[in-house]
Amino acid sequence: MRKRSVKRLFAAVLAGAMVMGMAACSSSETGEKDSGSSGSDGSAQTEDSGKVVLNVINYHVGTDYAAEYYSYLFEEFQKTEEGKNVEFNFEEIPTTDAYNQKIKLLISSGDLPDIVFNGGNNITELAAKSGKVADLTQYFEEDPEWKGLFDDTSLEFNTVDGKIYGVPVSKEISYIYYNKELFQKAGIEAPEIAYETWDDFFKACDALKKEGITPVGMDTADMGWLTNLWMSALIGTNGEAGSEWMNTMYPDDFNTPEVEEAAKTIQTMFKEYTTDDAVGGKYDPMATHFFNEEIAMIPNGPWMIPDFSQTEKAPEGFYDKVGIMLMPGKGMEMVPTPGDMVGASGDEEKIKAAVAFLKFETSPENQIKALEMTGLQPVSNDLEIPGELTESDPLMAEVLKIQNEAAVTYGQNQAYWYQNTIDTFSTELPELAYGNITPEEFCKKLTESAAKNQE
Amino acid sequence: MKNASRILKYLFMAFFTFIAVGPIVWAFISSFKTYAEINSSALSWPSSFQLDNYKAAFQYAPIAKYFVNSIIIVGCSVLVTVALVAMCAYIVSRFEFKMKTLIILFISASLMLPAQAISQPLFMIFQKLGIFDTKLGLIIVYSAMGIPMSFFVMVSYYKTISTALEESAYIDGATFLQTFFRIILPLAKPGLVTIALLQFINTWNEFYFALMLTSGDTARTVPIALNYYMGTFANNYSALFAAVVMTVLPTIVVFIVLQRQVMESLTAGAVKG
Repeated sequence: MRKRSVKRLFAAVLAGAMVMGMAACSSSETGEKDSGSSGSDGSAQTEDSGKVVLNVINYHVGTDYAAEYYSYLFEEFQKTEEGKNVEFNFEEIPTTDAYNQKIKLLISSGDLPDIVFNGGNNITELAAKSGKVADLTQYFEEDPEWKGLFDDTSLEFNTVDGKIYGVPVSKEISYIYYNKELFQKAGIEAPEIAYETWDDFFKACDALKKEGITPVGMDTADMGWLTNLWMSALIGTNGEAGSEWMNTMYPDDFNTPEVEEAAKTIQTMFKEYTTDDAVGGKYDPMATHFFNEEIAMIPNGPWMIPDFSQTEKAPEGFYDKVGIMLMPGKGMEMVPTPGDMVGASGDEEKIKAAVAFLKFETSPENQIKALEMTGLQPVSNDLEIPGELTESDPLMAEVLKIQNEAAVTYGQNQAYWYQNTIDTFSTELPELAYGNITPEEFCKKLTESAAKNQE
Repeated sequence: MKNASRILKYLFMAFFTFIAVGPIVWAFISSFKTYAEINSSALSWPSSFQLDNYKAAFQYAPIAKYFVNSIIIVGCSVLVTVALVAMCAYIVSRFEFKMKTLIILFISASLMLPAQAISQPLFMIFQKLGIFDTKLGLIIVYSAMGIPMSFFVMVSYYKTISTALEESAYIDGATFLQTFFRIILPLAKPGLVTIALLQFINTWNEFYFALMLTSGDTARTVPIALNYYMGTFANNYSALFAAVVMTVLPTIVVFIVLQRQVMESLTAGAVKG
């Protein structure tokens, strides 16, 4: 009898402890919470200290290529006149994929942070149409000097229904990196700027293949970044119609001769000119193939340059083996980036502080700093590039030089296509690569996917 | 002939041991390699067994904090799931009552709800209740997510236990609670261990809700920490492997401790008609 009572008492104590523990899980954390969901504590605009608290969701963390730069940026901003009264309340979300998942949820729920980074996917239109981000037009109009830093294309890219919502922070360009030694081994000379035609390019690929060298890096997973760059180039350099198509925002007809032709060439490239792991593979292992000198060419942007001299990634001296050329026909992918936005918190002070940060982020000095630290191309056209940079980083200097030689510039799918069409591109690429669908069928699937956005 | 059969048996076992243990050993060895060594050959031996990657793992991500969070959240959600399912499944498997079919239907239906469809309502409800970005919030979600599958496993398991045992207990004067706690639960231990294990593995690896329903370090779990090593165009596989080794260990330890019960549970009923 006594034993049973003890057992009951023990069970009651255990149950009580569990309930109290769970309650503590909640209450203690609410007290110590350091970074509420962006908008969840919207009342915390100004703290007792009189500082403006800006909620920021930062994906430039961990091993992100710009983590160090953004850490510098936030710190330096607080040393400026405009930033000395600002405090940041960070939520860290590692990787842009995770960031995009979360930010879309926050757009729907209306809990956007005060500074809304545009992470990879273009969320400007989605955010603007939801009414949860601030119209920045008046801030641009009030400060002509700041507005003068951006060209019309960059601003138009961030404009929805005549209002500017995003502040472009950089320009995205891409071209081809090639391995000089592998070209030499195959007995071919790389062009100074670019191959005149795609036929010349594929002749070089054949020569490389003959020497047992895999010519190009391609992928299908993670939205098929590399293949997207090849495909965009194939379309964008295919005459006026192709260039116009590849510069169109949200295209909805993919069954054009230029796109179908490009899909056909991509199919051939998968079959003939790339590595076995390209189908199903993603950017990272393909970049590793390039570092390990297993492929001769890879398309990408200037942010890849710092990796060439990182001995953790590439062998010693690899930087000197890399050359740069534009896509055949002197084509170069160049798109304004989706800009950073400001959450429409309704608090004027917060919005002003957030705009001040974006002005600081896009100041000429910080554009240069970003170029130095991350390889991000300045969004402004007429910035003076410091001489030390061209000496310390000749490849970067070559990039700055070669981009002026581009005869054709065009966009790429991750900036211009509907999100679901980008996903379809990635999921259908293996089917195209294995020949399970024809290039025409592949394009039809993209058209069907884009059409869903019109419904 | 006998020897050949024995060799074949050992070969077969060696093959499956290799498949099961190989990836863990590979991750462990890779956790000592440099980035270049990982990229140059997946199967090479590290040049040295230094702990630099383990130090880097702590440097890039708040892995220790997230690890503790995982232990608390996963531990509590396992306890809650097992406690609720153990009782609920017993009643459903043994008794007939009104609305029984409806209850089963509701539980089945919840299995079909995709996480993305409920994330926004949950996000808003949690904010209103003040449990957003708390461990309690995640414990509730994970327990709710684990209950349907565990429920069906336990209902099936209870059906394998003969009702004669309960009848005997009642004849001997045992109450309902005594019968349940003293007769049925000890017999159902392998089943309970199985659902605990399933719940542990599922919640330990859960990423989506851990991201959507948190905003700071107080309630985030290990799968989010692992993302810190996979930045845009800049992965650090060496640190990632070190972090994976550190975070996968508890799952392995739990399995080793509970493996006898799990095996019993998986094979129980296999020979019954």
